[in-house]
Amino acid sequence: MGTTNIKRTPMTARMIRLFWLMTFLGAAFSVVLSTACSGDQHADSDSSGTNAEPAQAWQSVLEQARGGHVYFNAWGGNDALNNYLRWVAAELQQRHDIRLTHVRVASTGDIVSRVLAEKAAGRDDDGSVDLIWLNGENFRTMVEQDLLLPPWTMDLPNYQYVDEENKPTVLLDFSTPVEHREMPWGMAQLVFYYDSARLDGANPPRSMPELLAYARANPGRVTYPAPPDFHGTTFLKQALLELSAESNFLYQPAAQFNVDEKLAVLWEFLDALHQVAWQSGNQFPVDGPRLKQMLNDGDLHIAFSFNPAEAANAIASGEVPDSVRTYVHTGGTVGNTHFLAIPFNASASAAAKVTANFLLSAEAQARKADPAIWGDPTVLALDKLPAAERALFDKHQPHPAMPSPESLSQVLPEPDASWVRVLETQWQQRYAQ
Amino acid sequence: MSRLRQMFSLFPWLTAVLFILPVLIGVTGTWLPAFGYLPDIGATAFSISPWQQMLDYPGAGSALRISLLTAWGAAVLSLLISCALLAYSWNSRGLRWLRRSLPALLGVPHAAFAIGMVALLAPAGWIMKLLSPWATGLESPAFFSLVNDSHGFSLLLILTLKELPFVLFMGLAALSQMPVERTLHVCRSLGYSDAAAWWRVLIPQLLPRLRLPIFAVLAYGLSVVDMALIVGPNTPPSFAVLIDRLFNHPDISMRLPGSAGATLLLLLTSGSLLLWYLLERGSLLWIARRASAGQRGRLHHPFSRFMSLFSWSLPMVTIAAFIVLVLWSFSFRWSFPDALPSSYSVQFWLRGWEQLHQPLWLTLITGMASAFIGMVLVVACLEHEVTLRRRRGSIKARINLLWLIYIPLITPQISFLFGIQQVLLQINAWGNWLSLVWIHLVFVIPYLFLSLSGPYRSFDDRYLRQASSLSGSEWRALWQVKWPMLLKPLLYVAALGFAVSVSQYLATLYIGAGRLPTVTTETVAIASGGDRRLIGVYSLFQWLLPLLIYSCALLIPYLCFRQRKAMQ
Repeated sequence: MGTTNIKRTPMTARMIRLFWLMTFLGAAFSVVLSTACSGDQHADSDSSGTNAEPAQAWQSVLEQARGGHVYFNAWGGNDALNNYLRWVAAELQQRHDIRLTHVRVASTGDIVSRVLAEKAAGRDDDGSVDLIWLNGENFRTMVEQDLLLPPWTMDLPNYQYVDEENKPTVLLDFSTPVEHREMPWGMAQLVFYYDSARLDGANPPRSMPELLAYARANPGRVTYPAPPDFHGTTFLKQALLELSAESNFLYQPAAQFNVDEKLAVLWEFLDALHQVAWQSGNQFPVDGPRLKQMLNDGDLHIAFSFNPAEAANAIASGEVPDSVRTYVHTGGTVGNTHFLAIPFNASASAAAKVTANFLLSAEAQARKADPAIWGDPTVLALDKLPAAERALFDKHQPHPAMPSPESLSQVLPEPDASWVRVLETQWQQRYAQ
Repeated sequence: MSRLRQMFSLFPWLTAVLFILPVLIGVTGTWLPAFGYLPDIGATAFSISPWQQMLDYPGAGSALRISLLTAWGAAVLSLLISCALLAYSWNSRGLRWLRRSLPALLGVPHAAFAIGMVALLAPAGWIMKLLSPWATGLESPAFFSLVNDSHGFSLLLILTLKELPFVLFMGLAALSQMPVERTLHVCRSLGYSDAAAWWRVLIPQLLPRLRLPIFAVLAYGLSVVDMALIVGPNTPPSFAVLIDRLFNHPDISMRLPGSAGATLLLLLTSGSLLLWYLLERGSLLWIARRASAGQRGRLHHPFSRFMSLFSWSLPMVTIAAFIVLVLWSFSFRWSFPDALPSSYSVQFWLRGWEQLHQPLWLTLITGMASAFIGMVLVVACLEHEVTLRRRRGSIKARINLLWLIYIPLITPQISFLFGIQQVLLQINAWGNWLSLVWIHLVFVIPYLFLSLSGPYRSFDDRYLRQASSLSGSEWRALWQVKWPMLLKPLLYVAALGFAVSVSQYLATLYIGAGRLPTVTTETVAIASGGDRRLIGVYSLFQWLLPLLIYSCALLIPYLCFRQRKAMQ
């Protein structure tokens, strides 16, 4: 278009240069990006090494894993977790030449949908997800839809230390048998915490009826997140387990029972609680972490979490005052295990396995269990570990906001996953119209 | 016709096809599942049961009510307040100040704004902290809550505050092409007060020109997810959030009722736009009937004081929201009812930077790319209009095709993003950066066109003709005369396009496949229950990025034309 013979004024020249610079940058970036994308496609032919020795088989997994890029999809709302994963990423890079990217997701359901969509689209070996943090209903959906890698966790060298004997939930995820299709990563148990400087009275309420009595004496200072947030649903399960005269029915599919009859006791309790709850039960917090903020503000007197070290952790990070303490209900509380799974079409499945194995190592588990770091309880049996590795767990300072190990001994297993849907739907029909 | 002009004539087609196609594909990809067809999950039988399921979903009715209330409320309020500001405080210092701060207000991303407002208005927000305990007597936060109320009033209010600058900006742009001062002068000489002149003469002319912006506000309000997650109710949530929840439900069969909901939202939006059009016509008739009643109106309307004050307060509220985010981001401990944090720390900025520098880079590049490509397309389209105008000799010549590019603006995002996602998956382009830029362009282009067409069309073509006859090259005339003369609006509009790209939440989430996190998706991800200090840092990053680009857009013409005052 004959731009060559233009006598350029300084200003136009500058603009033209800017134009070319931007065009060039745009082009360069897209080239870099497309090569980066295609670079991930080194397919791992998944040889689990049936003929070779396990050690040799693992060695070949390690070889394949080198240079892999693992997209770890995990809920990103917890800063302690985010920091912990940054440490993991640095270690993996150094030890195994694996690049770990933490894809922070708002809800794990998104990821299940994504893998499913990829399966439907015939994307069988270049999936966008390599490792998922999940449990319960999401695991069940992935099993039902056949979205997971064939059983793999038994091949991990560190799996032998998992405490299958004393932690039954590592084998049974919300009543769905795990069968080595997901790797236990951490333990969770419902714990309650309160600010001892604000609580009315010296002792917190240690059962659901006591909690109701406390709310009656202090209206507006108790609440729970709205289901389907899982903290909210867990609160419902806990209440149902405590209030039902006999709770065995919860471990069988909900379809076998007259649901209305079984749940009447729960709705009666909630109707009473809502009258004296925060915002008179017309509004509910969005999720569990919001309870922590509200406890800090003094909006609430009692909050709860699935991580026994949540309070200790939050004190360390300045999110709640030093006077916060943790407790559990006397009859025990709901507990479960959270897991890591690899989708069938992960583009870096070998690297994902090496990542999982590292996360299961005593070193990584001990660091994760440190309340100053994250405080997520280990899935390992300490007595199975070699002495030197066991010692890693003893280094943690006892924290005044940590519940005693004895108080955590009574774990109520998660009800059958089918109850989750029933509880959520009925709750929404009753309280969220 | 020169080769250059021929080239320009292709662009309207290119733009329309590039940008209408995804909406068509997306809408179809959502309609099929709404009627039970989604082979991905084994659903191949057409039926209307997804609709039944969606309508029976607990809370669906209330969710719809909330969405309609907030969208209509925000649209009507932002229009009424904009008109009142013009009518009662035109030429006041307050409005002039507001006018100058509009660019900064427009660039505030929705999510960051909502987060800042929550930090101000929550029961334990800054306002209550400042007032407690000396004025309120409260040692613990009050029981009432100004945010997340179950009717959606707070969502309505905050949405209004966010949309008001946009409507006002569009109104001012339209006014710049109207003989405002002359009209006022004539009306005054007939004894009418300024306010009466505005309501009876100027605003009736303004309303049809604001139709498109109001359409955009309505459609946005009906489909907004990020702001609704942050300040909206959750028992039940707004309809768009409910649909989003269904699309991402662990039970994948819920995508069918989700698609039905998305389709219903599209119908509701179309209905709302039609209703708005009828209301607009109706109110014009009503005004016309009253206009000849002969009442002159009071010279000093009591409202003018109030509106002038209001025009000061809007930027002030935004600044307060900004300050409270800064305070949070540097605090370590801050409990109720302390007016200020009791201890400070910079660790959250360091951590935030560590976590965000990659998303920041991606946001920057994506925003730049979409703003740049968008500008090329829009300028070429507008330049083609010049050809048409020359040929037909009419100032009114417009490209008929171009109304198509507004379709993404007035279609609820959630009603076609799911469909696009399905198609991108099929062609293995999901989570690809170029797809992301493309989808951002779909939303950036209408805004670029909306804001650039005014200044571009009012450019006096005689400059260009003169320049091309002197230089012999039209290209050179464009580069050396027209575009430099229009540099200020061009850069400003490009910055606006960048800001639009930055604030895209739903589109980035659905197209990025989680692998392309931007500052916005990251901010919304931690906004619900995350660490407030870190939320402060994240939302400030999200806020500062467009602000930075706006500053550049203002600074570059100033530096380039230091000797030419009128072009700065």
